Amino acid sequence: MKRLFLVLAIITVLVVAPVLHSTGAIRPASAQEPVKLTFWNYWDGKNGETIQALVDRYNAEHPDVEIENVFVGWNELLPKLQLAVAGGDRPDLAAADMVWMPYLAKSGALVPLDGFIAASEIAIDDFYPALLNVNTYDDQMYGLPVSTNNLELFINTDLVAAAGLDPAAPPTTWAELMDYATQCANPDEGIVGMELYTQTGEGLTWQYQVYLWQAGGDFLSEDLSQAAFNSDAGLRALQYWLDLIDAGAYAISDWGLFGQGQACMVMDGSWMVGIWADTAPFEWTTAKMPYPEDGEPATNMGGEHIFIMSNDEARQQAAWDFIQWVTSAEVQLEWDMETGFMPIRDSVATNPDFQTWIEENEPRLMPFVEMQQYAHNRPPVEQYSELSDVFSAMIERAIYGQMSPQEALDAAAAAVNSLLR
Amino acid sequence: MSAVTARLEHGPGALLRRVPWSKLLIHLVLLSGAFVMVVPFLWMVTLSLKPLELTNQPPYLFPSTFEFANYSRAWDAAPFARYYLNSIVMTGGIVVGQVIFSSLAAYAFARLHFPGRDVLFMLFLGTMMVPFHVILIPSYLIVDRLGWIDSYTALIVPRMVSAFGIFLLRQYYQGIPRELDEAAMIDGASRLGIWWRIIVPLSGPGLATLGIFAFMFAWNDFLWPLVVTNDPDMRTVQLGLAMFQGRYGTQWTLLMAGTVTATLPTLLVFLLSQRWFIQSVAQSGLKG
Repeated sequence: MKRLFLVLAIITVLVVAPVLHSTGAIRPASAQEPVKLTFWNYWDGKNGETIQALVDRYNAEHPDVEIENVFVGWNELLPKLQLAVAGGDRPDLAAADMVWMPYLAKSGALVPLDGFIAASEIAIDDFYPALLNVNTYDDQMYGLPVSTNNLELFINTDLVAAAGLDPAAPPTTWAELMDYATQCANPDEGIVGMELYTQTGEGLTWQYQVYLWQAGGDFLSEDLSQAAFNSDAGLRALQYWLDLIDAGAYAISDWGLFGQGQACMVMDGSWMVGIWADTAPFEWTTAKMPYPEDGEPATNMGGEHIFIMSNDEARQQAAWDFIQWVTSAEVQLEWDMETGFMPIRDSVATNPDFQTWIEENEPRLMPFVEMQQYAHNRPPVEQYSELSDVFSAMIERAIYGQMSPQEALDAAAAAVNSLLR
Repeated sequence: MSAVTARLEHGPGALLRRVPWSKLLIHLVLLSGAFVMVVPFLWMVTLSLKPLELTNQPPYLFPSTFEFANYSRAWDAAPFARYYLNSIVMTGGIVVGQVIFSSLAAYAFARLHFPGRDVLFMLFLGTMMVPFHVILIPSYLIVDRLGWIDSYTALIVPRMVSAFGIFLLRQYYQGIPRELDEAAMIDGASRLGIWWRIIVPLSGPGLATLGIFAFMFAWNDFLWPLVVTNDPDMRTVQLGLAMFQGRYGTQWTLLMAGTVTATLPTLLVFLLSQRWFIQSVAQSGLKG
């Protein structure tokens, strides 16, 4: 019996010890200590190393502030922010995917920045307006862009040259893209001319939006209250995809053909430049995304926005100081050169140092840099992800021939409108 | 004449007849079944040994390249030594807690008579019907108010009791003859003494089963550790692995190398407890 109680006693100690340990670990905050801020973001790899280096430097230059840079995985960040909103431990500031901004702003957990912006000397006009649109909710600004990227054309020069086309003269209009893609496609070897994203999901929606904007359309009405893609431009964009399929330039398949060397061209993001530079087993280049002759240049964009969640005024001010620093033209120039992100500010995009750096290091980024000014933002509504899912599901039906293009757009508009109501 | 018969018996017909067709068929079915089970693991190992340049090439099933550097790269990508320590402490705490508490509670439900026992047991069983996601946020808020965020306490204590474990062991204990309890009671053993000297030694396989279940649950758990840890030093292995899936692409080779490493403890526990399983069945003398 004695031994039994000894065993139970040991186990009790083992279980209770962590409790005692954790309560002992609470330290009283001293007024002398620097303001400690927690900064959550999902930047990994080279992006993660760069933000850590920048935060370290900021801490060294500002002894009164200590920012702790905490990496949280991309899939994990939104659930963790949602818990923070629900009333738990929240970071003082965070950087997250721009499409989450309306949802987070609506939750009431973000601190409006208008007061800070007005009181500071930040040149807000230097930011691309579309990037600021994303952060605006109920006429208040809840964040600032800190990194961005956009979609342009990637060309497999091996396949293009094998098809007898000139890789140095890429297509510039939809008509040229159609010809180029049709000639390059080789169904016998499973090679498509122009890869499209044809599965349900945001992948389809955000690719389609580029064609829609290029044709002069818009996704939602200006007041964000109803669908606007159900228009001539929307029909033209969808019909163009169906024409590519009919012409044999694309055969329905899972996404990812270009990376496997099975597609002559694809429209993909600027972040793929770094990835394919390391892994693509073929030669490739990039070009501006072709648009209709009577249309306009346009692209879609992604990226991260930085925002404040702290409830404490002193911390909010300290967080704002860091935001101002990290979005400043000088730091942005360095950030973009290290990471390959696109400029968020016009003054960075047109900075001769930046352009020289691109030409010397990775000229294939140039089309993306030049097109950032034409990038549109996805509509900043909190229902965006559901909206994107139902939209893409309807477009998929048109692609598979289960609905006519007009029927699909009508059905998608009805579904989107009911979500927005 | 006999020579002719002998030659006939050794002919192809006889040979075909002597082949154990039914056994061959069973083995063929078993082999293909085993292959289907093994393919995902083989795929994982193959991918973990691929150099980065080949990840965009057409896939192949058997490893033909051996890029062992992926393993050290995956290990260095994050403080995995710390993550493993956290996972081991958390898993150990949960397994020990579940085995002890489930065993004690199951003993009470199986042997003691007290008012409301069956209702209480049903209530316990009922909690198994509540999906974890429903109680996630309330649980998190309680743990947060207790100041347990970023501690082993938060990782272990809320999961030290499991309704499933109580149910499993109660059923097991009901199979142990009551006469053994009664004999011990006549010899002057207390309730706790009976539990420790009679019930526990006889329930090796039951405890081992619960231990394995608790281990698998704790080692592979993702959501709760994600929710109650903010400090990178308190993350577990599963959280560490999720970091290879980034916003701008997944590092498949590193993810798979890390997953292979994280699967080894489960494999080890299974192999060790499998032996112990059989031993305890043999020793208890209650087999069959």
